[in-house]
Amino acid sequence: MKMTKLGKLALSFSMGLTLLAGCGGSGGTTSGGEVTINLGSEPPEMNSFLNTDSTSGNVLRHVIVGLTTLDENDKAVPGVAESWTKSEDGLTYTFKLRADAKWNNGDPVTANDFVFAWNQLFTTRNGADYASTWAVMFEGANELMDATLPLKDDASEEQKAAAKEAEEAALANVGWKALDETTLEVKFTGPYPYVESVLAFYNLAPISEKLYNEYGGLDTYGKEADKMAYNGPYTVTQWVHEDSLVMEKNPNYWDASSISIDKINCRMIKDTGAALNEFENGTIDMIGLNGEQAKNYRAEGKNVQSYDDGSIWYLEFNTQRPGMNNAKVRKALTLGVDVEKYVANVVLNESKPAQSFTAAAVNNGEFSNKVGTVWNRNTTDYSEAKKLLEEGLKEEGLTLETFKPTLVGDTGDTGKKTYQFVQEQLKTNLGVTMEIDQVEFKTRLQRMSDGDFDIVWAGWSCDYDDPMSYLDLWITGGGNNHGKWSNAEYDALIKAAYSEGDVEKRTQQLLDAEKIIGEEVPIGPMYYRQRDFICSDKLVGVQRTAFRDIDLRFASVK
Amino acid sequence: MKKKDKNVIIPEVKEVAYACDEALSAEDFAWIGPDVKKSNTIVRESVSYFKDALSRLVQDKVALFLLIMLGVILFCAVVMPLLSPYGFDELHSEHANMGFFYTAPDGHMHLFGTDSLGGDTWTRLWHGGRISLTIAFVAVGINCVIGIIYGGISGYFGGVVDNIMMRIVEIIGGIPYLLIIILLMTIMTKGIGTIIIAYALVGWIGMARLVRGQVIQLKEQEFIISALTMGASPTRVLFKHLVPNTLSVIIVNLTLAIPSAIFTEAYLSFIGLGVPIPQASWGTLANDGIVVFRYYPEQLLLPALLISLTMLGFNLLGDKLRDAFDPKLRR
Amino acid sequence: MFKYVMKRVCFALLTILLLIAITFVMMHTAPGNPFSSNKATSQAIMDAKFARYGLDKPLYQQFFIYIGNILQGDLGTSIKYNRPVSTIIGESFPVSFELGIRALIISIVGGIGLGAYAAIRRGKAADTLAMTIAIIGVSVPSFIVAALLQYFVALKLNQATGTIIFPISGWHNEMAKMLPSFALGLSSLATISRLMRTSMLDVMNSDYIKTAKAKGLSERRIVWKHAMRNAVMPVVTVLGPLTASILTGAFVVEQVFSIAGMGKYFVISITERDYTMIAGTTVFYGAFLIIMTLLVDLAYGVIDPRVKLTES
Repeated sequence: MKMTKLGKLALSFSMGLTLLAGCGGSGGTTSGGEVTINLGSEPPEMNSFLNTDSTSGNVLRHVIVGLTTLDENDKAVPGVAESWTKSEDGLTYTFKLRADAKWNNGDPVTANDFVFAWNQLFTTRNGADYASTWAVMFEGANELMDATLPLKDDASEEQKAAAKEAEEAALANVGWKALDETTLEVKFTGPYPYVESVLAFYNLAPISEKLYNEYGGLDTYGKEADKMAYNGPYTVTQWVHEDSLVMEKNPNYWDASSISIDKINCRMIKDTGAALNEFENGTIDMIGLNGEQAKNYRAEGKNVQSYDDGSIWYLEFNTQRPGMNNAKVRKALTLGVDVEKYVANVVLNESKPAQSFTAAAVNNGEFSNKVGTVWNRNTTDYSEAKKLLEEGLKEEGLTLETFKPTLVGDTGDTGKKTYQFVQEQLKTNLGVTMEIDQVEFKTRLQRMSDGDFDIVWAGWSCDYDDPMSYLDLWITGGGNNHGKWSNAEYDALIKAAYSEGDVEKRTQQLLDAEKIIGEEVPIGPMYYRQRDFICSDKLVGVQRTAFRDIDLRFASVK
Repeated sequence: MKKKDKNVIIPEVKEVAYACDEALSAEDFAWIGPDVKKSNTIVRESVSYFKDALSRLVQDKVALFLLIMLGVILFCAVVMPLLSPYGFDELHSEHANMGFFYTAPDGHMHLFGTDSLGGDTWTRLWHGGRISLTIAFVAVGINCVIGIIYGGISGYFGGVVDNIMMRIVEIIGGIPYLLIIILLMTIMTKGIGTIIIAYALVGWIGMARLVRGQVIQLKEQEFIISALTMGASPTRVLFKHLVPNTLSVIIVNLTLAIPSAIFTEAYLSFIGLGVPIPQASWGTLANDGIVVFRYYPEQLLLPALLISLTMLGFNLLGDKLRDAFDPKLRR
Repeated sequence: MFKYVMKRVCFALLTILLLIAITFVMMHTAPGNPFSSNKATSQAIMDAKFARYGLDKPLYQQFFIYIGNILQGDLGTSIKYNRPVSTIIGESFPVSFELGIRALIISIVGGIGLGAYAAIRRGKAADTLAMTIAIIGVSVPSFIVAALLQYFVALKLNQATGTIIFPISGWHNEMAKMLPSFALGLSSLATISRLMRTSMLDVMNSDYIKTAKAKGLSERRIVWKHAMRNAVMPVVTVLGPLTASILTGAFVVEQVFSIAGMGKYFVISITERDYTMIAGTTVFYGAFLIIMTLLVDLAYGVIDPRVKLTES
């Protein structure tokens, strides 16, 4: 190998630096150390009850712990709650909190912190996006939400007083109560089997009322590193907006000994090429990879890791549009796309073709195994799909010449390639001429909620580890049911499953619902997304799953 | 005062030694009178402004070469997609991301390989050229016309007119472009026309500013004052005297505007108002290429090379045009 | 002079007011709203959020409230980040400004130098070389330049030498600032150098330069004392808008080099329909642009004494 003098000089110089750094560091032990990861973007909402996005979630996971927390297998295990008991009917839970759970300033985490946080969450005025998702589960939450609507500016004194009274009454009747400092009683509206995993969600994490007010309340809580209280394994010690964030081990965390890495530096590099350069430069220890990068690293034999992120991508049909109102047409369009080829050519990783609507990540794949294959995709012969399409079109008085749907899609990562691929597939396999209307993200959302589309390329990922988080999308009048598909039988099944205490029965109801989706095809499932990432040799044990996007709690530095 | 020093031919005085045996006398010469016909003919053809400019352009070998190069690119953009055995929207996903001269198992060959979806690079490249060049020419042409008229009027009349016109420019320039585009998308259907409008909506501002600046500078000069004294109308002064004198700067700006139009189109594609899928343009091809350039450098290199060649052609041609059109350099 | 400046300032204020009004209407007409997301939010929550940011009021009322707040120096709270817009601008603008100024210095010094040099050496190899550089600079957009610089100059150089010479991304030290500034300045450098070349050629052909030559002045003196000052005029004209476009156009470079500048907010605020942020950045940049134009107009008078500033 040829090496210039300058190169040699630089090399020896840098080795000297490494040696020096080695002396200062903790050496070869498995505990301690410092890593740098790429967070990808600025965490936009770190106030736990307002949070909805996964980037903030990735930070919150390390700094906040709720009643329960998810372990290595995505199972809910005791967090701040040490233990709990369940009433016979499965509606009332009594949580016993750990005595050694502390905020980072040393204050104990009490049952009142939960009551306060949940009161805030279900106060409509505060505008927590997920409040209505969780409110259905908690006794008295919907009533509280109704009683806490924002007042008009011109409200009279009487109206204000009445509103205040109603709010107080609602607060007195909520289903969550602090029986004493360390005991929390929670009443649910149904025997939900996924209660424990929902309680691990940040929205339901505790907030100290004292600190919340000290840090400025709704307007400023969670906006800066020092404007927030932490009770998790780490605390945020430095936060340069849009640039970097530093998490350091929290000495007040009760299980601090189980945490290995001392310091996690988070960069916010959005550009995947730049992140890859940083990784190859040795300055970042973990980055996410896009399809092309993952494919090439795999070809080089690098240790690319992947995980199912719990999202399913599908064609959502507007069932109010001619042609799209026919199940046969919808099914034919779904079967007309060679999804395996799509994954191999566009997604470029090990993502799986979708077999049902509920993603395989849910319940560790138990549910989707039970569903089995809803669609038989024949990727060599499309004559059956074509026949189905022609039948369906005929029923609607259309022909291939008059049926020209438009696909609306946004400008996401692989958007352009995806739409081009789907367009070409439908053309060659079925002879359908489909136009593409690529719009930016917010326009797509608006067009979806206005019902201004024929087909839209959309994705969904779950909020909690249960098929219901997917299946209740398509109930009549549902906020996410943009295609306005309606099926009485389906509605009845979902409604029954909501309040079904028997796990077996409930699973059957949900399986039946999946079957209806398979027959009626309100949406055409395409694939379950796998995501790829790579870690440097020194960082081991990073976990990423659908429910824990980035989790370094079990990781260590080699 | 025009400087024609170079063209003035100073007759050389030569000492001529006549070897004559007979001496000439005055009788040998007779007065034949003036040739009225000849003295009234104009020996040098009256050359119009544009004719003069064009003839000078064609005489320049470099300019001719550039014209030919651009001609070839244009020709390829028009003809190659038609000649190619593949459609620009045809995908061979079995062999995506292939290099030059890739031959598939069944014998068909992709001259420049294939892109990430297995589209034929050669075909898409020229198809893209067609779209990019159309957008660039039309958009820049529109900008040029609006910009010259707007800037010329603003600079020439000055005062309140100028003030108001320039404030309007500031407002248009101040509205976030992305916002304009997003709104435009909601009312227009996709296509090249929309892209041209999107570019032309604000693209003329730079040109207007430039022309205005030049006009302000020029209008105080003697030749304008003399034109005005001779009773030339404002329109005549503006478009016959002022604008031609700003042409050099305009042409340079024009050649700079073409790449900017091509890349504005790429940016528009990026946010979703670009050429409708599955069409391609040089901008979008370069956009796609940059993502994978470390793996398939040719996917970035090819569109970038074509853009650069076109730009090189236009820019050098612009210089030649400048020389040809500049009245100060006129014969 | 003073009267002229005052008049211009008044016009500038009026312009900004109109700019806000138009932007205000436009952003509220754009499809979608700041709170729409992949998952539908219940109407009650949506209403509550609208109420919280005062978006439930009629548009004209919102506008007057906003203008009132601006007059008190309050740009409102960003809807996406939930932090004061003025704080965000205060954090990110200095970064963008420094990046812009560095890029601008590179482009002005390089552009004027390259352009003037090419003009003086017109038709020679140096001219062709300088203009080829300029053309490459202008025909390769900054996102490509930035990505290539990062890959070849930063990563490959670091790997070859085994030490970090240019950091890949960030804005934390002098070396990290080099590549982004260059990437951002390159296309303007090209623009300026080409404008400078033509304008310099015009000037070099003019009578007074010939007079100067005839008087036997040295070429250096002619170029520096007489030609430059006049030739720089068209460059000054584009400088105002160029500065603005460098500052607003930094988005791509900021993204590639992961710099926490304002370009990002300028774009993201719009795609996210972060109304207060859109209005805030627009007012800020609008004012900046208008001030720049004003300065350019004033600079005109200083550089070219023939231009009258006061309106007769």
